[in-house]
Amino acid sequence: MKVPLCDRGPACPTALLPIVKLADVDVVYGSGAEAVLAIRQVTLEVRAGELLLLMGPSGSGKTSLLQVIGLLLPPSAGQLTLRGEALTAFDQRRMTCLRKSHCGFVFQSYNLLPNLTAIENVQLACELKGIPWDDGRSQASELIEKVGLGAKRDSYPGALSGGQKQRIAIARALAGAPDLVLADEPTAALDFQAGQHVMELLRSLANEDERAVVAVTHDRRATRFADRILVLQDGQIVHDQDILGLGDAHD
Amino acid sequence: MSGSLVIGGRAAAGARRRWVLSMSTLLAWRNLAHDRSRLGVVILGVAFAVLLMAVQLSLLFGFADTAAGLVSHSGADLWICGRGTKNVDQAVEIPARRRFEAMEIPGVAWADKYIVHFAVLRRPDGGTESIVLVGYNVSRGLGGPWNVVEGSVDDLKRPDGIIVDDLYKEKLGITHVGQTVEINSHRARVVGFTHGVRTFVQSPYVFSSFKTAQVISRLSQDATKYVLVKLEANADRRAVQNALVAKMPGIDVDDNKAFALTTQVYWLFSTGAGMDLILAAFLGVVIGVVVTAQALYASAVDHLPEYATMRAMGAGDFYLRGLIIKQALIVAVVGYSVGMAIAVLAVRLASHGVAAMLLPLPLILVLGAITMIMCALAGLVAMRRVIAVNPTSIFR
Repeated sequence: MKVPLCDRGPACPTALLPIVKLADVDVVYGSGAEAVLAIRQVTLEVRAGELLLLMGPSGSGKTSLLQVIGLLLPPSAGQLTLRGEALTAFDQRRMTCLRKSHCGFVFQSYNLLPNLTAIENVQLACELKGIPWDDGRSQASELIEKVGLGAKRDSYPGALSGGQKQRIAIARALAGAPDLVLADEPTAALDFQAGQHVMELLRSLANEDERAVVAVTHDRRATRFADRILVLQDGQIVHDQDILGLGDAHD
Repeated sequence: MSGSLVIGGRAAAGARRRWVLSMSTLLAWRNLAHDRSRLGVVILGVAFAVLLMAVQLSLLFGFADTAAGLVSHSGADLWICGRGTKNVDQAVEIPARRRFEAMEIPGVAWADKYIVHFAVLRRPDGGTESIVLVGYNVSRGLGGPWNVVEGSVDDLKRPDGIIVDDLYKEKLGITHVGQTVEINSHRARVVGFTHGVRTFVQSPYVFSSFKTAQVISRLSQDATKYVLVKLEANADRRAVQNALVAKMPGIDVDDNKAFALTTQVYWLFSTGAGMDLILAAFLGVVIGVVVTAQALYASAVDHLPEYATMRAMGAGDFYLRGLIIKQALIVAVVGYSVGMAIAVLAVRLASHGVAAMLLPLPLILVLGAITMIMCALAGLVAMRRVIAVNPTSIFR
């Protein structure tokens, strides 16, 4: 079963805009004889409106690629373009600032702050995005409702199930309406049912205007939610399956 | 211009309010409160540091006040004393005629002879105690006792009358007004008590008339220890001081404040007592920094994955530093409140004892500022650790 994509269809102009472009990107860990090439010569575009899955065996470079797309890891070589602007300097301050403006993250082990309630976790993300307290509170409340956990807004993470934690983490990733949501194995720690709910949620986020969702996953069941699947091996893209042909439309 | 300043001021106030009332403040508190035993230890550590600083510095202030009490309560404007006199308690004899010479100087309202002299008091039980006998002109009152709580100063006009402080009753074996004691083998009668006239040199002050003191101390009729000068209302203090020095060879002329300071510096720093107190107070700062730094660092290490998560979400250096600073300030405020409350109580209790402790408001405020700075400094180590956290470390 294929889950529908953007309500306005693949021909929608905003859905075709690349948010992030990578051109001939390498990522090298270490130096000299101990250097490891984690990503080699990767070229890709992440377009608004798509749910892009990064798949491949362990050590294939999925997470490194996700980190480059998410502005967490500067490429060792090649070019990274964000919203049409080529990034040349990768100092931490600038990367942090850009992440704050453009990115939201969902982690495999949720990474909710255990001493804050669900709504406080989301409100903290709003604060990091520069949203004032009152607006942050109302936005956090809306986002918690959006992921269907309004009744759990005042619960601490320790009192939530894995699926609920991940949905709160997704709400947190949406704080400040980022145009990129990056998810690292979002269903790996969840049972089938909870995993399905999380993928449906990510799918619906990608349907929203001007946003792309990039997820690293091993879960083959997640593929039915994807618009595009990149398979990596030894740091290279060995398969690029553009399920709805967005790439062709863009070309 | 003023409008933009007002707007700028409001913006700054708004920024400060946002900094205080924020999720990071809540998180700073929750992260601390999460580990209650560690929080308890760090607050106790800061409280102990504050208590140590407050007690040592209030002792220093109290000692300084006590050491110069005789001078600062004298009511004199100028002190004429032997050359090189370093403190009020240890004076050399000067000719008594200096009083008349002083009174010839324009601007001097009057001048009185004054004795400060170590003597030995024999207790009723036969034991002896060292005292400092203070003889002054009872009619004019310069250099006389203060805080008289029992008896009358006028009774000092009796040839053998003395006034002692009630804090030293037990030490001197004195119980009541009218009791007779022996000083330097001369009989003296207690005619009153003061309260809180402490001594720094462990020898209680015993006030008497100049004549009584002169007899007891066996001071020559032609000699005195000091001449206290009271100036006319519109007199130029500096000019009178210079005129006195020019007229009288071999003497020093200090104004009241300068002589009080000379006395304080001598007793507190020549003897090492002051430096001991200051070093002990500094030790309090060191203890506070070490305890707080250890606790904040441990808390930072415990929550590193959370800091890495926030870093990934876009938290900049300023935000993360602010979080640590807030933790440090929370610890500082709570620890300071506890420590200062105990210190104030200790000072209250000490007011009934012979060890003077003074904790004036400026010292309380300065200690508050020192505590804030101490805890903020303690946060630097934790800050370095948190700022260095790699956001990619949270990916598995």
